[in-house]
Amino acid sequence: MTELTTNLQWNLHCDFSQPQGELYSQFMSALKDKVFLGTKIGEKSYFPVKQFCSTTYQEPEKVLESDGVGVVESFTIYNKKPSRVAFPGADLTVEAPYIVAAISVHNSSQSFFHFLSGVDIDNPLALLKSIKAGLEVRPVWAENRQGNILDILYFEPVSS
Amino acid sequence: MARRVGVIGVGNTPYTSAKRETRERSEIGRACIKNAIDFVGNGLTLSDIDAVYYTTVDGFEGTQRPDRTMDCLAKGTNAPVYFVNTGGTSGGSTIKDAYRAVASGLYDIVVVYGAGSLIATKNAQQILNSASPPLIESKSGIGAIHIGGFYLNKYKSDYGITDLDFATVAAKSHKHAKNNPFAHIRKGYTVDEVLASPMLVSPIRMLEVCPVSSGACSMILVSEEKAKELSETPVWIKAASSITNSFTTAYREFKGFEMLEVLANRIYEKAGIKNPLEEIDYAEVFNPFAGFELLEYEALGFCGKGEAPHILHDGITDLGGKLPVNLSGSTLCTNSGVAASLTRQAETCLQLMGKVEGGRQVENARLGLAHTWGGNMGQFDTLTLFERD
Repeated sequence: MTELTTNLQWNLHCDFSQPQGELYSQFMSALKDKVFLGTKIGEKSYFPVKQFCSTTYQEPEKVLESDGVGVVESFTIYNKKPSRVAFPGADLTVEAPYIVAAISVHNSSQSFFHFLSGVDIDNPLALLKSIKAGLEVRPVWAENRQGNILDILYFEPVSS
Repeated sequence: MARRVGVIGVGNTPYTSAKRETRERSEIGRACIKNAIDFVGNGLTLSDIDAVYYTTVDGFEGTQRPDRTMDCLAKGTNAPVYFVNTGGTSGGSTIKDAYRAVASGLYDIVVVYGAGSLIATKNAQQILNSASPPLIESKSGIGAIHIGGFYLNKYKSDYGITDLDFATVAAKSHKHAKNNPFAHIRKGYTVDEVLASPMLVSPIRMLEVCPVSSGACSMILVSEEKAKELSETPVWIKAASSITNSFTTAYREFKGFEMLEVLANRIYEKAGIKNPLEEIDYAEVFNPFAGFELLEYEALGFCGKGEAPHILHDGITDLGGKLPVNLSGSTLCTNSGVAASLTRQAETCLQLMGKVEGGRQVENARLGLAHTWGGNMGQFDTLTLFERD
């Protein structure tokens, strides 16, 4: 008897190009010059740039320039090498285990995610304690910067 | 004046690993909806259905608007089909929309169908992670599980929550899923086994993460008149609501589930609930990562901030406790995509109807709360309150 063919196999390969908008285009371009842009909206500042206040629709009063120094809000340690299949949009060069941190740059009202290095990855409890105390971190920049978020290789403690 | 809306039927299909699924998606839908109609009995047939509310998440099935492709959605009876999609909360959102359609008098009998959405994709993470905001988070390889890690590490940092607390709440789900014929992972893993499982993304271990399941869930919602005609055990929808957060995940401060707390207060006020721990008899909460259940106790006002481990270890949220939670094993043990967000409502209704199998029935449960969480990692929450007479 002929073997049953139980599954239909197919593949979708789709390419995308999404407009970033004016503010994010400025943000990405400034990364090439090692500048981390934010915006000031009312009393709050946002790093990276925020296009408008979600609560009031208010637009930014000005663009803020910074060196990208911030404080770690939370983190997680990823123990498995990230799969290119599982993260199709990502351009990953990191090796596992690695740390992803939520970082508030210059008291930003919203945090932002990036890799954290230069801390003891084998001691998460110590890391929790240092984060509770306000672990200050700075960006480490790539040599060849392309105008995207991976122009920052990772963040490291300012004290290191 | 809105009409009362009753839930009179629940349908499930057997749940299995998405990779082992052999049924075509419309076959699953037909079996699931038929199970709900048979659950009601009393002469109810497919042609009595006024409308079908269908929910799944785009992308996982490799086709646009999969509702088009499914002949099981009462298309032979000319009933209208509505498609609702709010990511991981789609089940809760669909119940809310269907409830309002019946309450308004638009329809008398509707089916809500939560499809399994993971049987076509070969790698669910590939689609799931594409839901991250593309400008920064996707580019850095930030996926669903990372966000879970952020919340739970922050929780540890703020309140001294331990890995044992997370493993204990995971083992509670595993223990009950073992006795749930409609759970996918039914191994009954113990606290020690959870703690011995590999750390995937700190502080989340392998046995604290939901599986990729296949299976579906359906419910039948009817007007009060039809409920009294067709059911001896109707469960009434007392309130249903939802809330929306920013798409940018990093906008969250990870200080607990703040939006859920706002939503809970909103729905409690509407329903006149002053002390949820004392007044609610059963709850199903969304726990794709086991530790989320503890954060949800706090956001839902079952206890104060940082106190969830106390009510867990005291057995208050276990079978026989004051407010049992997730006696189905919840999302941690069965996650077939969107169906998991409808199963929370369905399991709650089964508890109130007194029709739960496997020795998991809560005695005299009258008021039940069902929660879903999702979108882009906490972008949406829904809550539905059910009660029986």
